[in-house]
Amino acid sequence: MLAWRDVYRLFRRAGVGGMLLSLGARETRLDDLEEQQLVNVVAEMAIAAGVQPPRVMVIDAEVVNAASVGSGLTDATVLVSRRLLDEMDRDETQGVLGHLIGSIGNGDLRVMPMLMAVFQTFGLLTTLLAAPVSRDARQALRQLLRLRWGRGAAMHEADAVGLLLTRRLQGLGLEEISGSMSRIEALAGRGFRRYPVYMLLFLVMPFLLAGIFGMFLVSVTFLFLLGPLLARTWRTRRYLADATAVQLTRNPDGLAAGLMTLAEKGALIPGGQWAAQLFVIGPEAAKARAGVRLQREMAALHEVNPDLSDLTKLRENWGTISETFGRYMAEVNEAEQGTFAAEQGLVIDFHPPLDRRLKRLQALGASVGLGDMHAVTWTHRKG
Amino acid sequence: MWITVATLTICLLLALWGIITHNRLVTHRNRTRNAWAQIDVQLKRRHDLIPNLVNAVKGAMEHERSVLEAVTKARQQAIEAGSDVAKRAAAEAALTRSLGTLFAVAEAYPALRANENVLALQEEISSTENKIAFARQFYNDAVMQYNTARERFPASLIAGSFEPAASFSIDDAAERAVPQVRL
Repeated sequence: MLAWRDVYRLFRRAGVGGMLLSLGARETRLDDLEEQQLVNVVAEMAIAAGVQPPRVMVIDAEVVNAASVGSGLTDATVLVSRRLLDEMDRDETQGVLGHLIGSIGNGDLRVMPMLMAVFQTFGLLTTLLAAPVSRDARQALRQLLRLRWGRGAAMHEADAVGLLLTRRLQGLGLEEISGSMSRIEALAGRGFRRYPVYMLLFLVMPFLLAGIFGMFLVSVTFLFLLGPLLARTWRTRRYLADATAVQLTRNPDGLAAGLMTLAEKGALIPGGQWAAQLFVIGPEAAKARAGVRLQREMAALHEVNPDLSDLTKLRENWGTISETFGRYMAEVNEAEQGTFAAEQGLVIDFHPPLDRRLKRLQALGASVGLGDMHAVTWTHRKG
Repeated sequence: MWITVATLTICLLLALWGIITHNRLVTHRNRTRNAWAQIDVQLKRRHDLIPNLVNAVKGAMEHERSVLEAVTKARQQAIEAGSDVAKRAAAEAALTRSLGTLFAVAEAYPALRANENVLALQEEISSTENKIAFARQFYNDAVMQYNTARERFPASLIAGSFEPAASFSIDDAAERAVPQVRL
């Protein structure tokens, strides 16, 4: 608990997602009508939410997405991809920015570091446990110490160290075990006949085993118990931000139409996958699109061979089927590649499924939504 | 002995409650004031933008002098309306209507629709109008919360020094009326 407080304080100061701004984000160009409109929409939403207008930055990426970064109300930044401005009309942009600025107003920039601090604290625990046997762990600790007591922490540095810590959570420490084993073997091999080495090994072994076991325990508790709960908390905040967007714009159709556009064309900004949780949509849109393609291809296959349930027929077409599935899996992997959730080695989604978000928007009065979405990209599950 | 202690405790609790309630009301009241200031900023910004717009379209819209004059006059009246909420709201509503007519008429002039300067000004003014609408929404929400906090029992017992706030509503029958479309 105390460690959590300290880690939280340390990273809160720096805020979240600062490293995103180094991906080529730039100020808005005021001579461009679309970007001028973006600045206006942000100012409008900030007035509606009663918060200071956040800084607006544009990123020239070929994907449709937007994120909010920063450490609180006073230094929040809204990051929008240029393609989003080209693809969305004013109402949709307003809905999406209502989500982002509503999220800022709801204090999500404070909630995120709290959640991340839990990840980071557990990462720190495993790092400490691994420190005697792993050079990487020691290096991560050194960087953390520098960030903690060094001169003013830069935003991107905090992000980097945070990632380094949480990365320690994956792999359950197996690398460390094998690494230290081989080193001990080498040591033993060198001094095969000399008995002090065996003495040393004998003395060190219990500590080593206890450390490895502790590491394992910490990782397992975290990955299977705490991690999914934290992700769920964040998903709830996404629903809340959607609802806040509707409250601010009084136009549920704007955000619903925006989400539809995101479902069709939204993806993560290349290089920014690790911060997927800060974006309006994460990898789930690309995953859903891959799912739709899979369904279509399977349906097409089924049409050519209606008696696919016959075992011999199935065997004949097995190559095509496995190829289709392989392509699907590759697409899903590509969509998830590098995201924080995937780094943790578990299926924890920081974003609710798009169809559920649209359903909730419909409950708030949106008329565009699920039906159209199935028409555009989704095919109904066979009912 | 213990009666004194009990009386003192009750008095202390009452005083504490009074302080907390008073502070809550102050927070609410200042939020409404700030929200009103926000509307004011946006209304002023619109007043500042209008002469630019009129100058930009004047050349092309020579035959629509009456429309332009209506806008200028409505702007003047809105500036003169002062800080009375109801009067100000009516004047600003009239200004919004005259601007709406101006934009509708301007649609008929291809030269204006292609003019980037005019387009940028139009975006500026419609954004300012959105801001006014959102600021009004925020103000009215704040007023509702403040008035509710004021009137609720038992806070109403000590809320005497807090003036009720007026919401920025549309009293103008013309704006509220549903436009009739004849085909």
